[in-house]
Amino acid sequence: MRSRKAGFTLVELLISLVISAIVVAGALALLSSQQRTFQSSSADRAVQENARVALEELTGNLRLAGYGLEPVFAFDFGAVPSVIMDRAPAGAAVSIPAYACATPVQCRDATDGPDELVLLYRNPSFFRPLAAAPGGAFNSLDVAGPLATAIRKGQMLQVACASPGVWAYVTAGSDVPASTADVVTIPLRAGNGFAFGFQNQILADTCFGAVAPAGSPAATIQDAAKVLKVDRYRYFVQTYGPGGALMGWGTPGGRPYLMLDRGFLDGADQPVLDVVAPDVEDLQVVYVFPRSATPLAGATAGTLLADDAAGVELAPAAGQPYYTDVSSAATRATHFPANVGAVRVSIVVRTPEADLSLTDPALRALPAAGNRSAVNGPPGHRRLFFQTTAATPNLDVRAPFYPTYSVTSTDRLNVGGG
Amino acid sequence: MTGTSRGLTLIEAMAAMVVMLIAAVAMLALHVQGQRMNADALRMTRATAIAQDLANQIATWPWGDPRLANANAGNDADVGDSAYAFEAPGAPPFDHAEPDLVLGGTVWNGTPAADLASGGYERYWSVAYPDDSNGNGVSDAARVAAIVRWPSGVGFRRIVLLSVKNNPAEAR
Repeated sequence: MRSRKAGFTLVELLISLVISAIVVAGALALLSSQQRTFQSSSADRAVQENARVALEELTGNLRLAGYGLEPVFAFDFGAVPSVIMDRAPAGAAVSIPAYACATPVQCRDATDGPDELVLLYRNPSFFRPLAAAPGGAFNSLDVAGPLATAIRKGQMLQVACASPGVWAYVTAGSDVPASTADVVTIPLRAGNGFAFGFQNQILADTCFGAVAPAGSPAATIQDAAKVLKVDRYRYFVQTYGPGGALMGWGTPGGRPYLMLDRGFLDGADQPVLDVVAPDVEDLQVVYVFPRSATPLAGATAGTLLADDAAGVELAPAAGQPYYTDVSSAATRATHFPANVGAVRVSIVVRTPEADLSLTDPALRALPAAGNRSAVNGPPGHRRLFFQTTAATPNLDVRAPFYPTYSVTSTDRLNVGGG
Repeated sequence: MTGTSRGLTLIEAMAAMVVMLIAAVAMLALHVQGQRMNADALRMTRATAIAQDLANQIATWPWGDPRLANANAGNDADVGDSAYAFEAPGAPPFDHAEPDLVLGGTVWNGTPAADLASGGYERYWSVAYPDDSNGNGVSDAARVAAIVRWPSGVGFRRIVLLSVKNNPAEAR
């Protein structure tokens, strides 16, 4: 073994220490900058994804608004008394009770915060024929099984018979699980009369005696009275704090969500709410009445949408439009809800986490939209603003829409349902 | 064991660190690229919203609206711009552009121009009337392409939404 070993001198060691310190410092700086970049781009992606989800959901359902319903039911702005419905028994006036609305029209709007949007349409992918004529106190419906998906408590149903053409709107009184039974009984919430959603009494009409128990031939099913779903969509923005506590709009520390209330109730009769997308800070809705001389409602900053000719008019002097009214009729030029031709929606979506190192005041601004002036939101978020229009072609119909229901796949008729 | 085994020299270790640094910088460039693609996706999402806005507003225009005039017959064979003419620099072959949104005293109910300003978006729509199935000389429908483009590189990128507007007088 050799006795002389070559080691590092102190100077060499010092130099190498300094150099490696510089290198490590550079690497750390790189690491932290990469981390920042990653965080900001992942927040960007989250914002874009949430915005796309929210816009798709809103515009997709808006396009279907009013499908299979009398156009007056397509948008809910509050109670409307005495509507002569085409498909109610002859001459019967129907009243529309408001859903989650204290003051007509104004309940859907705010000039200093997010709006609300309530629309309805017939579910295009559900129909069951009646298995037995409704009877007794009309507090339940027997439909032919199988029932592929459960019916939720609070689900509105349209019971339609083809001849002479009467529609009744009723509401499921409790959950009905999916079933393969031949007859499925749907309990109904009590409510006789002519209120939308509680028209059990109309089921006394003899045309609901056309029934098709399970196993009936196709022709019988086609001619039978049908039970169809009417889906309600109430979109609103709600801010939740840590632990799920409700918070006021714009409160720092809260997280805003675009929420959906479909009118379903749980076992304790509490509304069942769904989250559409998180971090949606604002929803603004402008209604377009294409045949009106003043087509826009809800587009003037600071002016609250009200029950009048400039907002949404629930009882216009010209009267309500009927199927027989031509498009140039005075009744179609008003701001009555059935005359909505398109809806302009805008949303503001923000980054999920507040980054308080972002101090640029411009980042706090929510741009003016709809009838809301520009306001400042909580600090530390980056925000994106999206705006688009969805036309509502179903409100243009000039006749009640009652497709031919088919149970075979070869006749090219509407197979899935109504 | 032999006594010839040696550790790394300082130079070797430093060279390794430099190589690692270069790799890390390349990773940073990847991030920058990712961010650029995020920005592209955002512009695309906004452009889609603007084009849908335009297409859905057009859906509410009545048949015979002056804004549905075939103002440029030259693009009738390709209203949907499959030739990507809207991505080239310069004026595209459109039928109607932004000022026509209120053509002939009509009212524009969609996204105001002020809300488009920040992204450099331009709105166009092209119209053609090629369909006449019963040969009576009256068009059955208008084919309408809503086109939105925005600056990208030396030219533009564009998206197209095609729709059809039926002539109520020719409905069968």
